[in-house]
Parts: sequence; C-alpha cells; structure tokens
Amino acid sequence: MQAFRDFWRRYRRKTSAVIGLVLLLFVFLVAFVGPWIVPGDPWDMATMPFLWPGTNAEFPLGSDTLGRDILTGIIHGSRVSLLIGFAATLAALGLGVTVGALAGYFRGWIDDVLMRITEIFQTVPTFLLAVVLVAIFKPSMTTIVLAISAVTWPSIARLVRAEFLSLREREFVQSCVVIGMGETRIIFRQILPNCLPPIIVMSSVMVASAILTESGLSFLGLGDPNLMSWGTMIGIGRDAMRTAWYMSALPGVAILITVLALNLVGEGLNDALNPRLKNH
Amino acid sequence: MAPILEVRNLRTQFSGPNGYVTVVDGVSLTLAQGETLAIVGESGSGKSVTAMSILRVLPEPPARIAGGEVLLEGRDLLKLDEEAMRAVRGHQISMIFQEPMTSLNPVMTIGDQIVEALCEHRDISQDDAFAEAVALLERVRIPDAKRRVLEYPHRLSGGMRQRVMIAMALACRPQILIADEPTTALDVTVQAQILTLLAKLQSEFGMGILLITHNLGVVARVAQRVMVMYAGRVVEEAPVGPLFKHPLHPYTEGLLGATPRMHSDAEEGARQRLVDIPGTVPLPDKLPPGCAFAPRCPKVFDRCLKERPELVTNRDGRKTACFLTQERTA
Amino acid sequence: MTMATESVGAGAARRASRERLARYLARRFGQAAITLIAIVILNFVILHLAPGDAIDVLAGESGGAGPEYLAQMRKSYGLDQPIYVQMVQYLWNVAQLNFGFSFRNNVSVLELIMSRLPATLLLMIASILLSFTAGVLLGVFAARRVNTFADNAVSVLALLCYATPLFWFGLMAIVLFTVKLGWLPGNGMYTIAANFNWFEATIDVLRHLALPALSLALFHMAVYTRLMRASMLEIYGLDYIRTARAKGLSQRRIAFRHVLPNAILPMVTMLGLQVGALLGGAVLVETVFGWPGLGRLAFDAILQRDHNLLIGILLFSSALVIVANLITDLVYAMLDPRIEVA
Repeated sequence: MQAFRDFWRRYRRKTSAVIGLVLLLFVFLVAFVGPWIVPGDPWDMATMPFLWPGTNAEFPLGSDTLGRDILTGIIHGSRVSLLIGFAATLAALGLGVTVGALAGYFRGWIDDVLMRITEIFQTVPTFLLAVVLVAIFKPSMTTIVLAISAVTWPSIARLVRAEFLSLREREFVQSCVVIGMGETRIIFRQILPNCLPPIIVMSSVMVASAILTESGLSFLGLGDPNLMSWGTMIGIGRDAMRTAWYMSALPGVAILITVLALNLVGEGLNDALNPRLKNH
Repeated sequence: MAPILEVRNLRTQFSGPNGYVTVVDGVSLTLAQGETLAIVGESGSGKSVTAMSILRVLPEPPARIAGGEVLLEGRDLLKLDEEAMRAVRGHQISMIFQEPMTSLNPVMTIGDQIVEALCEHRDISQDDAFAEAVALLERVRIPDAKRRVLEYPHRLSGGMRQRVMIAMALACRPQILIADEPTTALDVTVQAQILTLLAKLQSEFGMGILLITHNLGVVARVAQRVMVMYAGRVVEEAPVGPLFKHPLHPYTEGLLGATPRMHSDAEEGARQRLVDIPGTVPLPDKLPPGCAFAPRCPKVFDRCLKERPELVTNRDGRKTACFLTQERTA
Repeated sequence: MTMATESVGAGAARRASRERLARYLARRFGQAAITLIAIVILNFVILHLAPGDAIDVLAGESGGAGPEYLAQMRKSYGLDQPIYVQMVQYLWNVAQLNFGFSFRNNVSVLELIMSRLPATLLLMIASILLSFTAGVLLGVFAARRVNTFADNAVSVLALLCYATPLFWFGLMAIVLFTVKLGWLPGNGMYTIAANFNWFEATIDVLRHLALPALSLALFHMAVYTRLMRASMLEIYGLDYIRTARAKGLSQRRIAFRHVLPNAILPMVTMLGLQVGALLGGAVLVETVFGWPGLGRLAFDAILQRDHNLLIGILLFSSALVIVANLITDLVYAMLDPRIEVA
C-alpha cells in the first residue's frame, strides 16, 4: 500500500501523465458503460443516411452512408479496440517474455538461435506481415489478435533478454544459484519480478500500437466482419469523404485520443517506475 | 608582482530540490603572471566549481554565481555579457580538464579543433591557422605532428590527447591557464611528462597557472603557492615550502599525514591521494553549524561546533581558518 | 623513421584497412543472406500453416486459374513430395526470382512488383528525407530551448503525430488541401492526359507526392524529433562540449558544429528500421492516395485474394529492408570515425 502511494506520488508529478490517465479512464468508461446508455446494434440502419453531427439530438454524432448511428459505432468500436489492443499485447507478452527469458538466462546457443529468430521477425515489415497473416488466415478477432502479437513480440523479447542478462549477474541471483535453487524458481521468482517495471512501461505503448495496427487492418477491409471497429468506420466514411468528411473524422479522433492517452500513461509509468531516470 | 587575476569573495550556488545550495562560499585568490597557484582538497571541496566559475562555464541553470568579483586585469568578468565573456574564454583564460579521453570531440579531427580555437579569437586565415595548429602540436612535443593533425582523437593515447588539449588551450597565448586535475586520469610516467611540459611552456609563454588537484605530489612539483579548500571554503593558504613543512590547519595536517612519505618512491609519490582522513566531506546542504571540518577534526573543541572560523592572516603572513592557530598566534 | 620505411608502413596500413573492410563486408553480406533465407522459410511456413494446401491458398481463391495450371503448379511446387523437398523447391524458385504468377493480372509476380517499385521508392525516399530533416531540425530547436514553451509545444506536436493513424491523417489532409482548399491533388501520381513538358511534369509529380509523403513521414518525424532532442541534451552534458565552451565558441557554433554531428549518429541507425515501417505504412497511404506503388498493389492483392502476389510483396519488401540495413551500417561506419572499416 505504501509502495502504491509512493508510486502515485511520483506518477502525478507529471501533468501530462495525469491527463493521459483521465483520458484513458474516460475511454474505459465509454467502453463499459456506453452500451447501456446508448443501446443498439452499430450495424442497424437507425435513421436517414448522411445525417450531420449536431443536427439531430437523438443522433448527436450523425449517421453514416447507410444511416447507421455513428455514436453507437464509436462506443462499440472502443470495446473492439481495447479488447484487441490488450489481448494482442498479452499474447505478445507471453511469447516475448518466454523467448527473452530463455535467451537471457541460458545464453549460449539457445540465445543465438532465439535472437536470430527475433531478428528475422524484426526485419520483415511488421504491418505488411500482419496484413499477410490476416489475409491468408481469414479476418477474425482471433487471427487479428494473433497476427498483431506475432509482429510485436520481438521488442518484448529483446527487452526481457537484456534485463535478464544484467540481472543474472547480480548478487541476489548468484546467491540463489549458490544455495542450489531450481532454475524455474530463479527465473520466475527472482529475476522476472525485477524486470516487471520496464515490461509494464513497454506494454502500455504496445497496447497503443496494437490499436493503431488494428485500425489500419480494418480500414483495409481486414477487420473482423462481425465487429464495428473504428478503422472499419473510417473505411466506410472514406467513400463519402468529399461530402461528409465527419464520418471518417470522428472515429479517427477516437483512435487519436485513445492512443494518445496510452502513450501519456506509458511515459508517466516510465517516470514513476524508473526514478533513477527522472532527471532526463 | 601585480596579480593579473584577482577573485574576491566568490559565491557559487546550485539549485536543489529545496532551493539554492552554496557550493563555493566566499573564495578569494590572486594569481600573478608566471605563477602557479594550486588549489587542493578532496572531491566535493568546491575546487573545480571555483575554477569553472572563474571561466563561467558552469551550466546555468542549475548553477548560478551569486556574488563576488572575478577581476582580470581589473575588469570584472562576472559583469560581462555572454558575448564579451566568450572573447575571454580560450583567449585570455584557457582551461584544460581531467579527462583527456572524453574532452575532445570524437567526430572532429584534432587539427579542426585547434583551428577552431584560433579562428574564434584571431583574425587568421584557415590555412595559416592550420599551419599554426601543426606548430602548436610540435610545441607540445607531439611526434609526427603533420600527420597527427589530420587524425581523430580516438587514434591518440590519453597522454597525447592531453597534449592536444594543452596545445588548444595555449593556441591564443592566454594569460591564465586553468588546469583542472590535468594528470589525474593518466599513467604515472605520463603524468610526469605532462607536468614537465606544462612547466616548460609556462616559462616560454609566461602564463599564470591555476592548478586544481588532489594530488599533493603534483603540488610539490610545480606550484609556488597552495590554497586548501574544504566544503566550499578556503581553510588555509600558504607558499608551498612552509605549508609542507609546517601545516597550520588540522585538515591540511590530515592531508599531509594521509600522504605516504614524500619522494620515498617515485611511483608512490605520484599516486598520493587524499583519502585517509576518516569520514567524508559534508554535503553542501548539510553543513554543520560551526566549522565544517569539526566532525572529522582530531583537535575539535567546543567553540568549533558553535562558531565558524573566518580565514585570517597570521603574523607570518599565512592564512588559516581555524580557531586553534588563531588563538595560538593571538 | 626514414621516408622509405614510412611509406612502406603507410602502404601496409592501407592494405590492412582494405582487408578489414573486405572482411567486414563479407561478414555483413553473409549475415544478410542467412536472414533472407530464413525469411523465405518463414513465408513457406506461413503458407503451410494456412488452411488448405499451399496451392489452395496461392491459387485456388484467386480464380481464373484453370485446373491444368493448378496441376502444373502442384507439380512445380512438388506438393506430392515430402515437406523438406517442397521447402527446398520453394527456396530454389525464390532464388531464381520466381515468385510465381498472378492470375488476376496475368503477369508474373516479379514483373508486377518491378513495375510498381519506382513509385514506392520515390514515396519512401521523399518521406525519409522529410521526416529525418524535420525531425532533426525540430529536435535541435527543442533541445536548444529545453523546458521553455517552444520546447513543450514541440513535444505536444510530436505526441500528437505519434498517436495519429497515418491513413486517417491522409484522409483529413485530402479533405482540407484537396476538397476544401483545392491546393494539392489527392489522388494518383500524375495528372492523366496532361500535355506537360519535363519541368511541368516534375512539378506535377511533386505536387501529387506532397500529401502522401507528409502522411507517411508524420510518425517518424515524431520519432526523430524526440530522439534528436534527447540525444542533443545528452551530448550537451558531455566533457567535450565543456571544452568547446571553454574555447569561447558561440552557443550556435557549439550546437551545430559539436553537438549536432554527434547527436545525429544514433539517428542514422534508426533509418534502417524506418524502411520496414514505411513499407508497411505504404500499404495504407498508397491506398488512401491511389499512389501506384507496392502498397497499393498489396491492397489490390488483398481485395482479389491474390495470396501469391501478397507473399511475393512481403518477400520482396523484406529483401528491401535487408538492403536498407546494410546501407545504413555502411553509412554509419563512414560517418563515425571511431569505426575503422573504411
């Protein structure tokens, strides 16, 4: 509890970090509470098409080319974005932490092989690889999450490996080795908890970039066909851009706010969790 | 000899989390042409900050010079604007630093770095400046100067780089050279070479040298006068001979006592470090109310804990800031 | 040392440095080749993990491929063979630059890619130049005014660029600059059926290039700005900057002659990484702006379910990234005198 209070004291020092947290909480609020306040299916034709925002109180953000309510779409999209963002990050963490921990702890040929594989995944253009994976395996929630995690795990693996390489040499780890503690125990109970702070910081940025990637995929028509995501909405609005640009603009602002919030929170976490770096 | 540099009551502060902290407190000194004044003290004593305050090369903020005067031939440098001060740096007052390995720009040839100093202060063509750079490198005894001038710093050893630094510092014939621990990072044999070189160049150019060091072996070799600093203040000032023979301040005594026997062994003598007084220099924001050295002083008594001794000139012309010596002479 | 021995020594040193360079290049090319082979294998694995057999994925859905062609392809890919034979066959095809055939477009994949490559290269080079230059300038600007209003404004701008989806920015740029203001074209690479001389044609392409290049550059401009600012501030604290100040140099000269060349070095390594990201971003930006490059080709391949073409683009793009990384390494080695290979 005291640790958390210290953390919060350091976190709130930076105004931008607090702004980011407020924005993020707002996005979560929309995602969780929104569907109760504005019920309805985002795919339903609710009103006349091409309704401009602010012209009808019932549909404050207007409607799209087929008369679907944009506010409903944005609320629905927030759930899709957050769900995919966090799920893809969790999956990437699972793979990246495993690879990084194995490489950094055992070093030698295991390290060489794993790092070579990591390097290959870092060479292939990531977004293009995600596009190919989703296109070939058919767009769905699962394939999108897996594709995004397949292109983002290498950065986590590199981070964890570097942390393991340095932590492994520390006295507290060496003394565990000396007293004959098992390797699994050393990895999970001794080293891993100590590299959590940088992993947490990186995760928040990864959620943000996963949301950006998902929006790009669904803009290209590679979104889950059953889900109304922000990228899909921008893609729909694109056809009517010359006359009704608001259709693309509004979901874009939603992405911008969410990604900005996550980046700000990431910076705040970085400052709060790595006090030794705060001078920079 | 009339002093060319006179520092009066210099106060330098750094901003900390709880406001400004005084790191150099009321330091005064004079330096004459051709003279070498050594400032000695442990790390944290404020000697480097004093030197950098004179040249005003401390980053401001966090640093600020809160008071005093730095008179160069009667002109107060602290009152100059940045433009005028730039004309002094590297021209009338030059400085060399402790770390020759990191004090040169790694992506510029050493020739370009010397030429730059020349062109900044003198009306000289690039070609002439380049020829001058080669001549300077020869003067600091760098072999094969014509080729070396085109090389990047990483190709040179530490000693060679310090020679380049000296060549650069002397490029515009300054009246004063501030040498901040110039030999600390070097091998013992190289240390001796650099000190010999500095002494030789001093006799050729006639500049005054302000030597910052914690190595008493170096002081004994090259300085005429010594100023001992502790916790941002001057605690003793004396000519070299009398100071080594008969130190007045308990801190100076400690420094000399901590020094292994002088000249017993060339290697030992050059390695003398001021580390063997028990305890450490107090942080500038945690100074005790009385004499700053009192907590470590073997001769401490009541008054030292309550009152801060001023730097006072004794009958024999020596200065100390210690109640013991002052009471003895009073 | 006499003149004779001197020159012999110099010759030997030159020879040694040439040998070092050759060894370095050989090692780097070797590494690049291994990475490339591994990426081809990765593509092979993706194809084999996909539902249906490789030919179903490659051709079945693309339509237009007759059964006799499918049979021929199965044979050429050796699908009746054990999997490792298939892999060797696949590698052999790729080594001969045989990426297969695009049935929809009725040309070989390689031919299609080559015809679209120039447009993508132009777009990429433009956005690399734009993002690098703007990033360096903004970073220097911010670092020289650290913790002032101007510095904060640059940080906010960079944060916004970080968080903006680039395709959305492209769409909004079209709305503003093409639809509302009518300043710049928002579709294609040149005006169709215009009777331009070479100068007008160049200007025409540049005008078409402006918005897509800006959209693609935005994200990395933010990356470079932040990196450059941090790098400058770090260098400002180093010993040799204190030396430069002690020489009496002006703030301006210190910033541009001493801090900047050192601060820019770590940014060069970012350039190689940027190429991969740009090739991905090109899919989105070229789709938005109808730019006739590789990215637009990839989008068409998605629409037409031409997976053969899609995989071909992925492979080719990866090879481009490897080449870009090689060039970056060489440039870095040339810029930093401490690395003595050249």
